[in-house]
Amino acid sequence: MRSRKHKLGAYWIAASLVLLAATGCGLSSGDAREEIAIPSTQAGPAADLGLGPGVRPLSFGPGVKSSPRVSPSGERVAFILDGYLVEKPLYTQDFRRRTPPSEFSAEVAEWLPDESLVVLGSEEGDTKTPPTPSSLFVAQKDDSSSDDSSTVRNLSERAGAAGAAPGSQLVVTAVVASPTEESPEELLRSRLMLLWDSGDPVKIYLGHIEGYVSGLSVSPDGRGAVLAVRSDVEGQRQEGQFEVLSYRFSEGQARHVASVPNGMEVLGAPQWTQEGEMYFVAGETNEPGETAGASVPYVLYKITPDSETPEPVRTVGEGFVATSISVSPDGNRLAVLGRRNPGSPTNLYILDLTSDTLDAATSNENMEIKTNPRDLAWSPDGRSVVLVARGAFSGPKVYDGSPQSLSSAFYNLYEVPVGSPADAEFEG
Amino acid sequence: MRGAALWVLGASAAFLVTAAAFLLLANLGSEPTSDPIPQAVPSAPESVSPVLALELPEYRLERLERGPGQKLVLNVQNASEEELPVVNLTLVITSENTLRPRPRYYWAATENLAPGATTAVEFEIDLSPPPIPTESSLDPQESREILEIRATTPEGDSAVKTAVLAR
Repeated sequence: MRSRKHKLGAYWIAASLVLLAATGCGLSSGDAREEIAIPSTQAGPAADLGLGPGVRPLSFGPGVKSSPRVSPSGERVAFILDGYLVEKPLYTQDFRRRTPPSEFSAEVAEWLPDESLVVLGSEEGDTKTPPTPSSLFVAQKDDSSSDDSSTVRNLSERAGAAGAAPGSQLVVTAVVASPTEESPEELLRSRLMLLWDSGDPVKIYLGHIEGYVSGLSVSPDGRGAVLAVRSDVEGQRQEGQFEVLSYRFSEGQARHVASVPNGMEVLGAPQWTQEGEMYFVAGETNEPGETAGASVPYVLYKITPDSETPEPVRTVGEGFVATSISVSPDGNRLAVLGRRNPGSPTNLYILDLTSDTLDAATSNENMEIKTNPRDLAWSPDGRSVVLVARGAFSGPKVYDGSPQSLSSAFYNLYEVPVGSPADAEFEG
Repeated sequence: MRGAALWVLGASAAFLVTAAAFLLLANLGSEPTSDPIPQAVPSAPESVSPVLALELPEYRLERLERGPGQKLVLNVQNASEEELPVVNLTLVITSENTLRPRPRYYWAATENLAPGATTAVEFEIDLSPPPIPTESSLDPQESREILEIRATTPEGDSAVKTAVLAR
């Protein structure tokens, strides 16, 4: 009797196990499919788009794109599209214009903490007279608007450069203070302006900077900026000579860091690292008569806190041609666009400043990466870098699909994973 | 009494096993329904069609010049096993500059395309360069011409190709 009960029990347990196994397997496989079904954010899970594995396009379709900037939340990206400012969610193509396309020519934008955007650009019809290339606008966030319009407010004329603090706590811009129309004989001077959000009044530093600020970036701690300044005729410096200045906001005045040798220009904005070092790209200026944009061997330089003499960065290797740099939000890594030697393709490299090592983040086979210093941006979490590229070809090219579905046919944004500082530490 | 209990237990076990088998089959059968959640980005080529195929060799594009009256020949193939009474062809030329696209539209049609047959269709297109803007910082040299060619049938089959011309 007991054995029969045991047998019955065993049958019952076996049947239950069969049921559990069957339904359990079904549920688990359903869960797995549910995970797979989450919308993919890349064009094929392991699509190699010509920049190496893991690189994903963030935009598609025609139009020349430039100056990508990821929002403080990391959820949106703003960029310039054929002269007007647009933004969109990072991984979908829901473009939204932030400046009027026909009246405004935008050059670069930076996010403010309230997700408004500060834009350097010019209104249609502006006469550009160097060295005052731009006006400063604020494209305010306007959630109520259902169309593409956005409120754009002119903040300042004669702006030269702009940079955002990590996390976009503030945006710093340099504006030309003199000469003015009233006193055209005055020497060229600039001053800095700080913006917290689109509604707050700006803070203007009256301490003048002699010369024109051609590039600036904010330090990782958000308390200062490093500037590339091109001189007018003043004192010992010759016209057109560059120097690097630092500017602590608490001090309210600029400090000379280093002079750049005569005949050399600083490309883009110098970068200030967590350790207090400064990096910049410089090279010889084109002589009159030379082709503009001709291949000039720009070199990556470093200035240590205890030195006024810039030194070439040896870690990148001899012959390395740098084109643009951007320091990571934590200030410990430097994104470097450049070529290992003049004959090799342009790639994105990550210079780890703590371990002094250089790693290639892309393996460019057939892409033309834009090398303007503005066309490089970190994500706020420091896990990726956004750049602009398109397929490199000299003749006509035919693709399957409509123009709006294509990425490499046109200049588009690409997200390059670069790991995180923690990953680097773990690997080290 | 014991027999009845055994019968009930046996029936229950059989029911459970059968139900489990059905659940398993239902799960396997429902697999494709969880996939069509839309992709966040366009990725699949639109020109994949079992019925139509477009052919536009690049060497033909190399012969084109910037100017009016350029002749472009493309081939359309009936890749199906039935005759296609009508195939409509549209060609839209735009500038790469989205601010000044300057669209130009062209249309053609082929009739009674036999199964497996290929026919050549010629378009006379205008590839004149755009007037240089005087009050814009945009470099007109940045803009290339984009040719979007689309073949469609009244039944809804289509094929799409995009050609980008060098400057």
